[in-house]
Amino acid sequence: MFACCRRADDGGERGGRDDALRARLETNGTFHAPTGRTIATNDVGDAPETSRETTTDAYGFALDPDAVATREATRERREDEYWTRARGETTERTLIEAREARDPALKRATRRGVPMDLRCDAWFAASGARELMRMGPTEGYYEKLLLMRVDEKVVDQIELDLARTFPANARYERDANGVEGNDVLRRLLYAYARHNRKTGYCQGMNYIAAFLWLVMGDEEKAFWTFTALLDVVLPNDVHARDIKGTISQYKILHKLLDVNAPKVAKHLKELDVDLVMIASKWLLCLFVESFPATTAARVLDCITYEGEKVWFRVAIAMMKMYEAEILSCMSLPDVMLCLKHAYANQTDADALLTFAFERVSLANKTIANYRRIVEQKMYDEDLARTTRNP
Amino acid sequence: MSASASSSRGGGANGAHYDHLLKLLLIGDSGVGKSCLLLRFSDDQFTTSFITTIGIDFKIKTVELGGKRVKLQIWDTAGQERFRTITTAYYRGAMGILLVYDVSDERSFENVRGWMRNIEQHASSNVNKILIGNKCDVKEDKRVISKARGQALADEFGIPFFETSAKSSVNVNDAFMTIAGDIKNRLTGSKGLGAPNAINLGDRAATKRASCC
Repeated sequence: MFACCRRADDGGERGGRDDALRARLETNGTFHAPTGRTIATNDVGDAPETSRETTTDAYGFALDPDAVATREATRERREDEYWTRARGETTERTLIEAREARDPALKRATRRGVPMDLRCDAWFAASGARELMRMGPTEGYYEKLLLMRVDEKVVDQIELDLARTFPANARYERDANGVEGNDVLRRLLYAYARHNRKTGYCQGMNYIAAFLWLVMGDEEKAFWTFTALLDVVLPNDVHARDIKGTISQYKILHKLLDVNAPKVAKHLKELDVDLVMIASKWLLCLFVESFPATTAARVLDCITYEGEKVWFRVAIAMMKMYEAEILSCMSLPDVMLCLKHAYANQTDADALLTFAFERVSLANKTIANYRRIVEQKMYDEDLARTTRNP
Repeated sequence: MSASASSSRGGGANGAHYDHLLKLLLIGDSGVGKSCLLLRFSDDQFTTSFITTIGIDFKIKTVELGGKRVKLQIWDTAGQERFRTITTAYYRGAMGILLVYDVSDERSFENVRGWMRNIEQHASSNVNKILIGNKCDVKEDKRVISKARGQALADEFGIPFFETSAKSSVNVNDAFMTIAGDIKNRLTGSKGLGAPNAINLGDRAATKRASCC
């Protein structure tokens, strides 16, 4: 745990700092440790906050009144007792040890949903963020990043997107400690852009970073989890300047659909639908902008713990679960609307994850194999292009 | 997407009947207000709590043009450069392109030439174009691109020009209706006026009603 408030300019690199940024940091330069929310232990996964009048979920997202009933129902479910045992001062360490030991009980408990109060520790441990931070380049790396210069184009794009990230979310606007989401998100994105200069900033990253902060509540842990997701858990170059990793991921997804959901795959081909063209945000935003927040958090429980394979599982599961609806679509725009709708209304995370883990057959070897084929083909095409127009 | 100007009666994402289907594309730098223009045109709304467009999005609006019901399928693109791989693929199917800059953002205006080059590279050669200087509601001290400069650039390209405000609802309808009218005239003119199936290029939505949405 970090001290509650720290001046961000303590002991940073003096050289190369950006004046405009410094001015910003001087006004907004503190970051905060978790709020220490107390949450009833039966708040498994993603129950909405308890007040009947409340129209937002626990992360500040507006709730569809029709869907509240569904979520109220899931509230009744008791949390996996694994979490009850793990809860306590040593949660983080317990989780790390369990992860290293590949404890099947932890995997099962994760798939059933990490309780909200443990999510920060769980994601931090499961994504590999903690190791990344421990082995990080220097002590206080995050704070140092905050003081370094950022490319002007990156600054402009981030500044544009701050107010356009979850604008309707009350907690993002200002959390219980009066911390403004804009300020946190600015620091998270600037820091990552400095950490990974080659990628800088890509739209979509704003949603992931903001969501991690909303769920985790701890800015520095959110930064490391974000970094672990982008640098380690997800395939390379998803957000790169040519979003090559995103393009290849969807080519692999189409190949997997050919096998796992042949009817849908055939129909998409007939309609000339390339999923990267209509739904790149599933990956660029890691589903957080597509699913209801509570479902997105459940999916992230599993992605942080089990890796990118879960991304494929979930994407394929959705295509199979909504097969009939997709098959009745007669054009690309229809498919796009249909999927948008299906994702936005997928409040039943249990149904989705059960389907994804039990009814989608997927081996790491298959993914790796397809990735090799797809990447080789993209490389050859690139080469052919550059040879044609040097 | 395949280019199409379906002329058979059909339903689609919004279920309304129409005589023609026109596909429009909004392009321009990030933050110039493309999504806001589209929301103003399609729903006559404006919101300050807008979200970043990731990849691509679209809206449908059916309008009346010269006594015909015309369904406009309007594609809204992410402005950030790295999405070009995705967004340029939509150029080919577009019948009209609305190129937007922000009158209070010099760089977005300078980049108009780059966007035009993209159109030349990726869109069909006879695509209709229109230049839009958005946010004309800004105070004079915030404005950096005069109306005359915008007009001069549009004249150079030989395309219509509008200054708009999605916020104050200025000229938004006119801009969309102008390009829609130009496209309709181009398509119906060259194929004989309004011959019902002359320009059916096979949008499936026109032949079978979608039931999922």
